[in-house]
Amino acid sequence: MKIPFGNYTLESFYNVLTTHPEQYRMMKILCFNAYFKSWAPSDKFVTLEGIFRKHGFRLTQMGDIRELETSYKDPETDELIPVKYYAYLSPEDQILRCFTTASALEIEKTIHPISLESGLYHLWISPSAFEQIKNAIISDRPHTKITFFSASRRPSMGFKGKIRPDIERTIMYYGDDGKETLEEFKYYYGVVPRTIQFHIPGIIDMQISARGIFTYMGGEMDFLLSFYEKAVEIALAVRRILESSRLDIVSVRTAKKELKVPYMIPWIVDFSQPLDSSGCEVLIEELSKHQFTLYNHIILKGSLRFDATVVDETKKSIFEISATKDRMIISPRYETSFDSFLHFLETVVENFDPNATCKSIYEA
Amino acid sequence: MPSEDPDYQKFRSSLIDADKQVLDQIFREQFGVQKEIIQVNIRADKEHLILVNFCIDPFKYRAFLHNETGYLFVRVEPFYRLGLKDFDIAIYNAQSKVLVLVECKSSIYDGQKEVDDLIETIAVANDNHKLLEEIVGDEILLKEFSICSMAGYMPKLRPAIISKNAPICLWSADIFTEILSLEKLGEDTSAEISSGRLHRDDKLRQLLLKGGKSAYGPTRLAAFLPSSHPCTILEEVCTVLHLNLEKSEKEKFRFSDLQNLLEKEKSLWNFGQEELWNFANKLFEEGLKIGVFRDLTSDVKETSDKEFELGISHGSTRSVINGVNTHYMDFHATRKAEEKAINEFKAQIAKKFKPLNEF
Repeated sequence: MKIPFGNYTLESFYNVLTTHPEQYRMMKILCFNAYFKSWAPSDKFVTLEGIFRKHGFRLTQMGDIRELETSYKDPETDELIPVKYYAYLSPEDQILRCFTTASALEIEKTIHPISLESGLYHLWISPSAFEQIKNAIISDRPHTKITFFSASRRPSMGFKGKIRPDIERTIMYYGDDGKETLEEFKYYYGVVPRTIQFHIPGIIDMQISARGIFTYMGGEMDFLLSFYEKAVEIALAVRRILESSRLDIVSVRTAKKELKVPYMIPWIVDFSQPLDSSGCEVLIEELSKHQFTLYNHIILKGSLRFDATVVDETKKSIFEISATKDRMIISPRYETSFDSFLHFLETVVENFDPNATCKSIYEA
Repeated sequence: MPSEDPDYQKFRSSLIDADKQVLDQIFREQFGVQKEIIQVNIRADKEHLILVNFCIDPFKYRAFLHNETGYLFVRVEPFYRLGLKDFDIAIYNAQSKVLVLVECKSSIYDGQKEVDDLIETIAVANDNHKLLEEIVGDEILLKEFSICSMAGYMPKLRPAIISKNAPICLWSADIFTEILSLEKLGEDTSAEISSGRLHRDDKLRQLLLKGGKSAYGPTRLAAFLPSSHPCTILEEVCTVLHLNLEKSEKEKFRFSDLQNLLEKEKSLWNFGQEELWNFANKLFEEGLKIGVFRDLTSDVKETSDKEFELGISHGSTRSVINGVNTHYMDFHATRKAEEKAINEFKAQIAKKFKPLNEF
């Protein structure tokens, strides 16, 4: 992907894309949740620019857009493959948008690892947000066809399909009846969609993945550029809930002293099916496969009570969980930020309970 | 586990080979038993922690009962510095200047004994009224005392409190339905208030008699208490220490680093500097004893000038937690098993060789 050097705003960058859309066929828009509001604020020790440099990127400023260049070594040919992204960080919604025509493998080898850095996480689209986005397209454009989807199921998921529910499976389906087939596969095989390709006759072909990647496959670029912003807004609802969680120290005055007390705002996961003690064991195992370590934990049987301390090994944070059969309360403790909570929620939803929902305590 | 205790080694080397084998066999059996005992104790301690957090929950800043009544959770274990029998939680109302001290019991075998113990702890509280005033920074006008246990234990506690005419409010915790309630022990409300078995504050009393439920569910504010099982505390503290060292790309640390971490622990908020120092010191001693911490400056006398490192594998947090657990279990189960093995061995020998006068 090549964009002429210039001084761009997001709008003028979009103009380049929409003027010659045929040049950007198969362009992907990768969205990342960012803690950062700007690339290199002088008062911060860790900056977004610094993170990219640490990962071997060269950055060139083009107005509000940054050109990010890097390369990776093809293990088969030993050849150095250059990979380029054009990135825009929105200070309003703190979403980093990266535009590229790189292949899935090139993305995985280059920009994917930055999701592990503290303060960054891919724009995870939860199954319910995915459903909402899909329904929004279909109700807005009733002639829309789903021409491809990939969907998967893990045996650890509480939600069971009708056919051999204990089998781990991934389904990739091509066909003009994808809309109906996806519903059938969900029902019979208990799968959760990961990627969906939409064909809106006379308008656009595009693909959306649960990792917040939007792919332009031909047609009106304008449509994709306005549509993906709506999708981002839907996916952001989860982040807003997680960001409301915090741990503050509050001073309370008595006659001779200022007492320091914790003011803790946790967040909630509502399970779609009752959790039991064997479910807790499955959950612990799944979390541990995804770089979470649970310790100081206890499971009380009967009606259920499950308490644990959780370390996120990738984001280096600690939080406390406390669950009953219907819900889990997650309380911040050490260096917790929204990206660590997103990582946790994604792991719970994608590997344990695809219909679990997150809530703030104000909605409880 | 090979023993490093010189007394045990001395005793063992004094035996003939056949007896050594007998002793080793007893030791192996005892080692398994002692590990199991430690695990049971850790679990019991965690059950207690669930109950403590359950009681803290409605009194947290801006939680239901704090909002409604002004009673606020201030700290855990107010008499920690005295090293005496202690309450688990201190809750204070700065307007009415009433302090409620709560003792949590996750299991009860003998209700009478629990009440007798609590009466002794109340005496400690009365003897140390000034200390409590120092903790809350206020002139306390009234102290109230509560015992909280699972709803199923109420039949054991109710008659014990009445028979002793003890000034104790009885709190019943249903941790599954998440309801905390106050038990009424007599018909005459005024008399019960006067005898300290119902809270004097109308609103607190009425809300608790009705039963309070958290608005959204249980939380764990305190991951441990100062009196929690040392293995649990070490796991919790070493995890934070490890993440801190990793973040600052350091291997070594000082006693003050540990103190700084503990200051930020929610479990220890409103602890004085001296209390924190004592807690950190005790923890340090235990960590050094079991080999979780390694002293890198044995020639340096002053603790504050010493440098330490983690004595366990610390590639990941998981390995730190496993390391703490293994070191703790091995050290303490070994010591106990050695003690038991010697005693049992001696008892077996004594049985084998009866004294002459028994023939």
